[in-house]
Amino acid sequence: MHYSPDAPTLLNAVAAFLKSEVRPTLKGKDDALAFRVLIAESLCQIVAGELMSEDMLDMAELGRLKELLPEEQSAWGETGRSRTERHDVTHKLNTALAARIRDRELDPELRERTVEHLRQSLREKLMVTNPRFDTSDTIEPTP
Amino acid sequence: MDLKRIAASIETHLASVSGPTRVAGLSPLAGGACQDNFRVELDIQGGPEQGDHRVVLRSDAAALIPGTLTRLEEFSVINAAVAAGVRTPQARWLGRGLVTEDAWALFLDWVPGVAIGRKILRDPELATAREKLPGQLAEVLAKIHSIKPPSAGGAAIPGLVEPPKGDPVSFGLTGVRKMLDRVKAPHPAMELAYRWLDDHRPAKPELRLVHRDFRTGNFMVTTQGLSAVLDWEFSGWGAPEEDLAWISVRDWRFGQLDRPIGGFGAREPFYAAYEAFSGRSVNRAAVLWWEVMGNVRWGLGCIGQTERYTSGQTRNLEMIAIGRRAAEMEYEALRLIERGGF
Repeated sequence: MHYSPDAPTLLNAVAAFLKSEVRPTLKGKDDALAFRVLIAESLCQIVAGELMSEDMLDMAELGRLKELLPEEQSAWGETGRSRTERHDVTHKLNTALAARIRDRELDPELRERTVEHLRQSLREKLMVTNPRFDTSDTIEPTP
Repeated sequence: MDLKRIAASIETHLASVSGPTRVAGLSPLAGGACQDNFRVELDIQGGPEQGDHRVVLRSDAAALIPGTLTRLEEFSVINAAVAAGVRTPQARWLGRGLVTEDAWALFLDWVPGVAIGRKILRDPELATAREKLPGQLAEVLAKIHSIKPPSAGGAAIPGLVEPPKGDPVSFGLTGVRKMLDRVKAPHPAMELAYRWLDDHRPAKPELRLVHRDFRTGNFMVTTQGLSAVLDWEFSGWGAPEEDLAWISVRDWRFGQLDRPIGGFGAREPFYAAYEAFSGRSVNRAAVLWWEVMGNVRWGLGCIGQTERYTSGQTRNLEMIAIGRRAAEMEYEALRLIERGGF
């Protein structure tokens, strides 16, 4: 284990530095560069958020994938041991899910569960990468 | 970039296609990925075009994005659009090697206005413009879609090829399938959207000239509303519904999600205005299909831009950062599918 501060804290410090000390010196002088600094800030914040939420979200996604893909039990492996192993299993199960959607007719019940899972996984990603993204179904008037 | 050399090339070129010319100003414009753009002040000192002209010089960049038109091809498309009465800057003085050796270049008349999405949607001075825009855009789109391909009795436009069997729906799907197969990471949400697209193909549309990047950000807007449609580099023969849908793709609403036409208008009045101007009815289901398609393509585009960075083709930070955004387009595609109609 590394000494403190931990990785998210460091990344947030880099983001704060770019925002308060670098970007203001560029504004009006080199707006294109100022924009790329803004992107760098936002990437630091995203990665910090991902590091903090990753374990929880990975477990949630993996749990749902296992429920959706009981026939892939052989691919589950010893999950929960390390982050890398968990990523490998999640990758395998997502590959299997993608193949199933591509190659098979899903009955309505399975399709609904699949859509529900996909939307939930996307909501979880978006909460971290773009918290302002509105995931409600009422963003525009219904027909 | 050697601005002096470019200015000298412009002067030589204009002398042969117009009249003796002095370049009084030349400055690079923040441009697209596939052209180099410059603002040019010309002093034409003789001939029928004598006088001061402010123009944009657009030259092919060293690396063209696959599937986009060259300036040579864009020149013919713009001429066809102008002839059909489309409000777009006149293209002039096509030339070669003005900026980069062998690269085609053209000049566009300077048009007033702003193109920046957030300004168009929020600037209080543009409130009246926002009210006028949906009707003006419907009219201009009807004019673009009045241009027919050779198979429908229209004139050929160099560089524009009709899709195989005249079917842009199948052609579009095949393209998306290929892009999706090239992505290394699994994307089950993309697969689900693709499956829906494949299962809900609209009937073969009438082929027309389509702009293919008809959205907020590519229109010049003044207090009077639309002043010009820009950026024809993606245009081709295709389905009119593709343009009608692209303007609604979530990212082009610039945060005004409850106004699905470009972030400033409602769907039905826009479709009704288009029907009135074009004399053809809008197939709402086909528009939904193309809107899902637009989100899928844009999501795949985000992934592709990240791969351009990781493969070493570009060192632009914006390119690698955009990959994470694919989840936004996936989520929106699923929302539209589940909504199942307008």
